[in-house]
Amino acid sequence: MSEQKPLLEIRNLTTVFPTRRGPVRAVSGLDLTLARGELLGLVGESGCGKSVSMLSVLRLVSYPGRIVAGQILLEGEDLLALPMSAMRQVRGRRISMIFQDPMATLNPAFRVGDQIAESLRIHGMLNGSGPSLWPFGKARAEAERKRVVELLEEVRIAVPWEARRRYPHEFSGGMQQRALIAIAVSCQPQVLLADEPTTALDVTIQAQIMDLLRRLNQEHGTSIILVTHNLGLAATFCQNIAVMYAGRLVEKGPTDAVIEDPKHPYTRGLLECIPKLGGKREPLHPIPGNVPDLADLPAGCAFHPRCERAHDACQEGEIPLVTLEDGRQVRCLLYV
Amino acid sequence: MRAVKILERLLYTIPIMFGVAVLVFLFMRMTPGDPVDIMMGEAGTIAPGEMEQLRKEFHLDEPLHVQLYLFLSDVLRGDLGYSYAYKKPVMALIAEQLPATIELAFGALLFGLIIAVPIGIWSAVKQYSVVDRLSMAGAFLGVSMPAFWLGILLILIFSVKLRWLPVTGRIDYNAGLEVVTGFYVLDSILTRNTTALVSSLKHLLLPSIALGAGTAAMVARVLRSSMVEALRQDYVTLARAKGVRETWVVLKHALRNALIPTVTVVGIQVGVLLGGNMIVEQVFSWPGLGRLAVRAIFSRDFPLVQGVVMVYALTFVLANLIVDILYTYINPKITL
Amino acid sequence: MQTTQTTMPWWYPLTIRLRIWAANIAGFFRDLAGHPIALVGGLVVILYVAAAVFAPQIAPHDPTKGELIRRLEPPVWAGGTMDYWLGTDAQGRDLWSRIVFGSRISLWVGFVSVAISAVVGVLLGCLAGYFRGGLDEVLSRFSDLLLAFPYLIFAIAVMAFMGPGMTNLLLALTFKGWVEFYRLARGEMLSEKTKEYVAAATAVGMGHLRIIVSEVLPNIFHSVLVLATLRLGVMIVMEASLSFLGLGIQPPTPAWGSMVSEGRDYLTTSWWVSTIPGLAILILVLAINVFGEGLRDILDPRLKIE
Repeated sequence: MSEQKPLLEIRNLTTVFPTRRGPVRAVSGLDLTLARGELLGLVGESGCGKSVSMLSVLRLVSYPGRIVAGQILLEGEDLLALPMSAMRQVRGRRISMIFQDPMATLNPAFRVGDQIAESLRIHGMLNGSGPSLWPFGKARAEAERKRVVELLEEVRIAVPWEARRRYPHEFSGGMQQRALIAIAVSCQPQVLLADEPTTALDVTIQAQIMDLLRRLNQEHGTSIILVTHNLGLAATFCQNIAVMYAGRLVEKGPTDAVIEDPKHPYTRGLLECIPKLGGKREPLHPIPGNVPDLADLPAGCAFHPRCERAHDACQEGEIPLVTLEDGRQVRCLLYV
Repeated sequence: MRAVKILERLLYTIPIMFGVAVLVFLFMRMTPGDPVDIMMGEAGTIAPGEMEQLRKEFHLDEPLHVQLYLFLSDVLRGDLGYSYAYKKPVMALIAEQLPATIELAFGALLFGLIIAVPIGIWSAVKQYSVVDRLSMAGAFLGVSMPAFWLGILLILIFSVKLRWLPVTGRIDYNAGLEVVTGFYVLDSILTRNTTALVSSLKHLLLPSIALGAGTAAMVARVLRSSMVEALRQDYVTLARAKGVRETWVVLKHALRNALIPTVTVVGIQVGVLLGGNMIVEQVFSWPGLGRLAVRAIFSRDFPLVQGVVMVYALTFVLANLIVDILYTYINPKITL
Repeated sequence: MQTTQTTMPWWYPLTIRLRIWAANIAGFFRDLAGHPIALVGGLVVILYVAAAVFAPQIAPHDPTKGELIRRLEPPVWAGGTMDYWLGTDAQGRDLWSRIVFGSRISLWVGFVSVAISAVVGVLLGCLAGYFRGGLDEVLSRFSDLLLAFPYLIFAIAVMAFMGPGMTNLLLALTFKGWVEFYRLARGEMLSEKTKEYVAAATAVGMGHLRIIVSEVLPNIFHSVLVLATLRLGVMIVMEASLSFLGLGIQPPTPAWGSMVSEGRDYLTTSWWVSTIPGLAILILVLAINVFGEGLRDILDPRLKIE
């Protein structure tokens, strides 16, 4: 872990969705840091708040959900305090996001090249001129076309000068995701939030996309937060892993350490769930119980009803996030 | 490539028109009673030999298939027969009155779209707001209201009580309009006749509203629902994540997709407008094809009815064709 | 040992569906209560139907005979009398009585024409969609052809040339009316046919007709019902339009459309003669549409416009 100041720092982020049954705390007091060039994995089951926290970073949480507390510091600047016009400059330019289902995320009515070009235009990435909505003049259009083709090449889409004129439905799933990555990196952002980018794709395509992301990280120094429920994927790709449960961060540390020596009982449970090739044939070890209802969280540690090592003290009070000697963080009374 | 497809579609209308002609022909021949008798009955006393004369003229003594052949060859030559009641060729009568009907249909469509599009978009963006509920209630009303009643109501309020607008006709007699195309509004612009322009617009307003209210209601509802659907999609979230301004997200990204089902409905409405103008033309004594048709039917003027029905069908088919072609430009997934 | 084998009559599954429905009537009404506006709509329709059925008891005056001395009296709130509370028309006939009796025409024509259209259209659509081939081609082409005619032209032409009268009116309205049901049924049949349960039924050796009626029909029943409700309003307006032009039911039988038409000459002095019958039409059609929307929400939430 480098000593310099983190690029992105999430402090005490709390995002709530008011519902008829009461407020749903999708994210509760999340603390996360991301260094320059870091590959961070955000792992957890469906519904644990990982996607919402990423949307919160870009302030894309849809009404009636709201961010009710916390700070999101990008190079020291609190994004939550920015006026919307400044926030729009951050989106796509300094922090980009890619989503899970590429077919649904690309606009079916516009050509792929135009969708990439839109990012370039909005953030004035061509000729150093100011942001505008459509190209004026032949030179500008030409420069735009060139850049789009370059970007398509970079994400390894075949025959890029033809591909840019195609519509999303003419692409395969893998190509669509590449196109989305092209959009995301078009303005050379510092941070890329990847929300389950390969979940909707075939496994072989998955490997290609992850390679692409790795390459972008190495060539451009883009920090990436990979949100996934697939612990194995995070293990192969990320340098550090953060585990979320019921809207809270429960463990964070370097990948190898977390995988080989999980501290939090939930992490341990997740790892034990994974069936192993070779070795004895054993019954699978699922984690007993169900993911809690975010509108009705258990008091104390959210995991305690399912935890085999829980004791009475786990049932009440705020469980603090403890930093261990090796720098790892755990939210569990076992380590307090 | 696309031009070929358009040509194909155009050619496809020919068998339809053929079918229409045959259907109309059969229909006329199937109605009970001797057509000549009926026509004679309406026209008053006739010299004795003239019945046979007319029968010969209308080829009513020939076998059915010969009549059909003669009828079709006449139609292809543009000869739609001779109106006994008006003592003029049918074609000429239709040519006189057709522009008025098209102008009215156009006015109604314009009115419908001007009202429906902003309301549809606004209601979708501000779902469940007062504007939304009111406009959807209004839409319900618009769909349920009989056009002739709305017309009479409008006349009652605006012409009789308020005296703002004229009751009947297309233009004031003393506006001195020089007719060029037959479209009075266009003609007054072309001849730079402001009094005529004002007068023709004033006359066009109420009938357009009466005819277009139903269209406005239907289009508003469809647009609203498809906008709501579009705004829910992932590509809208991506557009925001790229940093696109909210207005643009709505008007470009969402609307473009919402237009697809909307254009289909508009297409259907064009058909409804062309079919429903008869009633409105009656109410406002608008000198168009519809009113001509009603008169022709009442006076049992066979050739005229035949001609009018065929022209109606042709206009209808052509209008649908245009809408279909437009649709392929809007929906990139469809290639005719 | 002897085993008795019971075979199901082929129409049995359809009746099961209907019986489940009937048993769920309570649930249905509960759903309906969740849509208060639709409920109001339904009640209004029932009121109209009641008015039509009990017209002779409800109407205080003879709708066809008027006293000329009482012509063009305004409604009660504009200076008229309670006895003729909605006013009178140009021939001194009580507007309220005429409206009550007029509902008979509108409702009868509306329901019957929709029913005929639905039966014919669904039947043809199911057959065309199931058997495909020549029948499908011919019917579909023919329905496309019919669609080339603006809806009113047809009706007007029929009425004008074949003369007025109830049968001709119904003929005019249903001639194009079946097309929508045809397309609906055919479309649904085409998509249902690809589903596995049809293949399963064929594999078991069920006859075609049986498959159509017992397997597929119950599934499209809901859509047909919703479409029928929505078409009902359209048919009623069409009947009114035809009467307005003088092509519908002939006087002296009161029909709302012709009442509006009669009042046109007196717009400047007696606005109620035209306006009020039109309002009757509006309220009925509005109630039907509102109820139809609610029905659609309840029966098939997938189709909900939200």
